[in-house]
Amino acid sequence: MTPCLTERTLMLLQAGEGSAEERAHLRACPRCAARHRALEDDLGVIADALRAGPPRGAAHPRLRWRAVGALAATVALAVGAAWLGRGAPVAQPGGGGDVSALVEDLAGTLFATSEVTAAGEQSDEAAAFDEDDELALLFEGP
Amino acid sequence: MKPTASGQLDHDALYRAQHGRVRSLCRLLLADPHEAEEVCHEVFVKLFEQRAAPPAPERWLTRVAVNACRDRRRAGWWRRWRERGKELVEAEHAARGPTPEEAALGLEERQRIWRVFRRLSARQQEVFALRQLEGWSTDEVAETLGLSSGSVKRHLFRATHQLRAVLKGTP
Repeated sequence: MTPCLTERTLMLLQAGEGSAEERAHLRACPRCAARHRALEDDLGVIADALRAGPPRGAAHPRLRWRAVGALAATVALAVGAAWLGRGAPVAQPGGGGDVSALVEDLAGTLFATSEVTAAGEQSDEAAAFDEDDELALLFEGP
Repeated sequence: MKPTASGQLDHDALYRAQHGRVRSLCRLLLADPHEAEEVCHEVFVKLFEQRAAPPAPERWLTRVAVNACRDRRRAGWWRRWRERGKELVEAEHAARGPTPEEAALGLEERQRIWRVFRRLSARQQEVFALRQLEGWSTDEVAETLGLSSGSVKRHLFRATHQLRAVLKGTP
């Protein structure tokens, strides 16, 4: 008797392909016949599942893209907020309400940063000094 | 479905006989009920534009539907990004009504089968759908998709292998 059939050959036989010799083996070999029946059963289950349509939770690729987009947007927002907030003052209970001062301080920080970028020569020590100076001014209060 | 004696297509009869099948095929290949409806509509519009009957209208419809679904998948990435997403709702697709017990037992398995089916290549999906669900022969699938018989067998083997792995618990 010929050697047992491969999975590929079994699939071809199930699809109506295969040689006469392979079909003869399938008839003669109980093991391969059982594997062939298992294959047909599995294909029946798969076909039924696909004919029934996708169930809830079998996410369409678009949903995965939406999830990726939402994650990217969240990360971008977090990075942006962190960047904007790195020089922002902490609101003080007693001195609250002076929003314009806060905006001025923030604008001053941004402006100073722009100058540094434009000059391109300012040392790290000087930048650190400016930041300390700004913070000191902020915490002095009105 | 055969053309009339004058060689003209009986569009209405063909639509009645084939619309459900074509729509199911589009839903399978697109997994989106709205896009599937649109593509199915396009397919029958193309059919109605045909004055002379194609040699085998059912095969012609299937070929046009498969090509339209493929075009839609290729061109649709920006649409998918832009348009609202809609989770696939079981009720919109169900071809038959399973009992609650069947639903409970089979839902998880069906989800896994569909996930793996979605991950197959477009060709593998098309070959598997036509060969295993539509019951076409290998040669018919090859001719319709413009593939060699060997390619069809290869795609079918890979698709079947991956889908069966779901049932064995090793996707």
